[in-house]
Amino acid sequence: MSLDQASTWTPAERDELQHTSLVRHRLEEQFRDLEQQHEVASLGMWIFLATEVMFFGTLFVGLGVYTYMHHEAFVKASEKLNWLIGGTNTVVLLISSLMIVLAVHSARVGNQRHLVMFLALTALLGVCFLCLKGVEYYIDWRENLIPGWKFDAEEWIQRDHLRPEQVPQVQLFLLFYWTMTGLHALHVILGIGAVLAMALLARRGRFSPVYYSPVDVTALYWHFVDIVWIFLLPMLYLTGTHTGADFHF
Amino acid sequence: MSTLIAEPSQLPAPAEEPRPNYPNVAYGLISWLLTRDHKRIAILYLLTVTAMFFIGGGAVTIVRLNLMTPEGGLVEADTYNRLFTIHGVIMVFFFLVPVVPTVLGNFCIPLMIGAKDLAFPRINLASWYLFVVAAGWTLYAILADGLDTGWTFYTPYSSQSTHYNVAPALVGIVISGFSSIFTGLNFIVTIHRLRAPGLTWWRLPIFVWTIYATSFIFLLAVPVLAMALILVILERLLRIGVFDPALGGDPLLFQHLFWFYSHPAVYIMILPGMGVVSEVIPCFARKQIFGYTFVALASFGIACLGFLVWAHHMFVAGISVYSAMIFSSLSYLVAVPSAIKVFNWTATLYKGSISFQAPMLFALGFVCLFTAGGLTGLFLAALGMDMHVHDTYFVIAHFHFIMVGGMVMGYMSGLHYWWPKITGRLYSEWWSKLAAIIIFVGFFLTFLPQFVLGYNGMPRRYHRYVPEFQVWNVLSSAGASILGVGYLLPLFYFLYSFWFGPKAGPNPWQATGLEWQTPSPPPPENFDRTPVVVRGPYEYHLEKAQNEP
Amino acid sequence: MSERLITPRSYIIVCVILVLLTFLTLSVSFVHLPGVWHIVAGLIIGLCKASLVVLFFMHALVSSRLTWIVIAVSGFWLGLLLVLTLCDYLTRGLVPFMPGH
Repeated sequence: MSLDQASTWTPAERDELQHTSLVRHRLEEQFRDLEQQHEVASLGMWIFLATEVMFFGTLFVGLGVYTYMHHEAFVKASEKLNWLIGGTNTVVLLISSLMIVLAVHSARVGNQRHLVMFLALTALLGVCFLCLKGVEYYIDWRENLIPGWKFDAEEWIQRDHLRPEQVPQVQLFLLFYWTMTGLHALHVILGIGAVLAMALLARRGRFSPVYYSPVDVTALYWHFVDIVWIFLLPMLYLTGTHTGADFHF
Repeated sequence: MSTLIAEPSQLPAPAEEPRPNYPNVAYGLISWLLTRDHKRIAILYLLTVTAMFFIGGGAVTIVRLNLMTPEGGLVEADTYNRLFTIHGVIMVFFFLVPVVPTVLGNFCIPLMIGAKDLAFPRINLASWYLFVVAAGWTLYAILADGLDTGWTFYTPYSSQSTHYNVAPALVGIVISGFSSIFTGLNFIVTIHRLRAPGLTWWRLPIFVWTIYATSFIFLLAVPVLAMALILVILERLLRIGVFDPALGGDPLLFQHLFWFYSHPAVYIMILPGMGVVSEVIPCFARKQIFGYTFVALASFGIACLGFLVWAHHMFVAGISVYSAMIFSSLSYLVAVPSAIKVFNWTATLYKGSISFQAPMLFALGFVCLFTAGGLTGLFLAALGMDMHVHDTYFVIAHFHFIMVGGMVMGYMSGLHYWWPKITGRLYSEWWSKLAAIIIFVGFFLTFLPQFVLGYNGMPRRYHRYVPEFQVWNVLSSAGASILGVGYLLPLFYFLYSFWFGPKAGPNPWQATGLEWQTPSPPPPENFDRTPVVVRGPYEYHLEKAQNEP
Repeated sequence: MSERLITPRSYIIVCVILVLLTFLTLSVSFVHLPGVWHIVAGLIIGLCKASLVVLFFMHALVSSRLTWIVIAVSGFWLGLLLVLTLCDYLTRGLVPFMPGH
């Protein structure tokens, strides 16, 4: 079955599938049919993502308020973050989003092999994101960008000509950086777990064109994690002007 | 009203073999702890929140005893701070916020909309476990080590100065927040997607509308609180000045984020109570609710406008004068939908056939006390007045009128109204009416003097006061003891009714609503066949027309 | 589940656009812009990217009205939190707070 076919199951075939024992086994008793169950699952995930918007959003508001209050120090601090790894990670996540949406499509048309493959690729790219993040965190550690643990106030005053009272403001920025990227990474880890679980279930033939809502719902979550990163990139990495001198490992 | 199994001639005769209902369909602790039945989960919540209510009440009993004399002295100042913190944290996060949605909402919503269960039964059970873990954890953290910041955890005291271990208690509250989020999510999805055929939005009981509005607030406000508390935890653990002015932070940012949740939280607390009253008043006035559309939309109006007013808690904290003026104006605006509801309840009572059973007594108490409390809120919304009475007993009296006089009475009303449905038993009419009257009298005696105290300048959260305030404080403490008796009474007559009360039929109050069309207690699957709804709620006037010649 | 379908080809095209927009974001950060404009530009491009992800990858384009409402409400509410909070910070110091005057 090629990727381009819109649907390989006719409505009649789909209706017949509704009554098989496999399908009955998946239908919970408070629902009328699998379609309602899928709708409800999707709505539930969308609403959960709305709460996550407010959850992450609070950090963005805090960051926004403090960026307004301490613009100069925040820009100086932002310039020290590794935009290359940040940018690469953005592209990695975008491609992983493509992979998972193709997985959902494969589930919908009943292509089991492609479903498993795309889910595995999504998880792989997720792990790739985490590895790049790990490298970035190591570089941040090496460059004394961890407030409260590895941070050299003098270095900031000398190298970047900061006033003494701006040094804590830099630390504040870095706290937001670590909290926001750390929380995001935690969500990526949970997402990878969910995607791998879906891949395992798919391999066992759990999903069919009339029952694939767990995959759909996992994909929604994954896209949300991608969107958070889309906003993290400009707010954390790109608040100042970069030059070629920032290109470093 | 529905056209399902409600035809009396089709109901099985009582002498036939009893069908299983949700309590007796399976026995054993494990069947309760692993249940997915929303009705059983409601009972689990009932037990938990009742326990929390009495713990929070116990703390404030000691507070009021201490306040009998001007120099205090019953407990030390430090202990006093810990006591009012315990009272606030437990009553807000572990009683008022969850009680009606998780007990009455969990039990009644699927029944009211003709569904077999909520949309996500396992998440419902997970909510309860999260709540229990959060409650146990927070209780341990507060009692073992202590917390003296007040339930508002203002920075920089909570994040730096206090020597008490704030972080564990905050973690417990964050966990309880997740419990709330899951509950809210469940209700919203259920109400959107699991309504019975024919049950359009405009045929829903008002209780469902208010639970929906409450869930809306849960979902949008709780995550912000969770993150604000996490930032305080981080500041304590890492000593980085997120809210420390010396290190570039702003303590007011915490207050903004905290009150963004906590003001809508007070609407979380009151809206379900309003929903209960909107069910009880039409039933015991035998009259359709006046202005159904307005009452329904006002629930939503309260939920939305409630998000726009949070900084009225911060008028003296140092926000800019311009934003203070904006928030003050918005605070006036939020009184409007509440007033609409009060007018409509009153109009419902007008020319109704009113009977004064216990649920109605509590509901009338709610309307009276909520209105009084709400009006004093307008005093507080005025910038000039708030400068004078902020952080005094005026504020305490205001919110207790709404929370205790309003919300707890609303909960009592709902509990008394739906108890026959939940347990299948009737409680003692006489004792319940006595409890209602005792609670009402005790309440007035406790909290009316506090308005006087606050206006005359007695600050809140002080363990001692100037001698001229003693009379009012003694009156207040005396009232509190009466209130305590009033709250203990239901424990006795409800438990008594559970074993010895007469059996209630499916509809002891002759009320409309799908939940009254099933047996009491309901069977596990709620309805034999999915009901089909053809009429609106509160069709009491039709019954009246039928009875007239 | 809607019967209207977004084809795999569309997904791939959207992904390419998203990657290009990422390059654009990074390039803009090398241009010298005064003050806050870097953040403004970054957020605007970010909003475009997020919209594409929501509409196409998350199938909002073919989803029910209720889904649209959930998306709109969550964005709007976050905006409320941001705007009303900033309302305080942006107007501090404009009118001196002197009780009695």
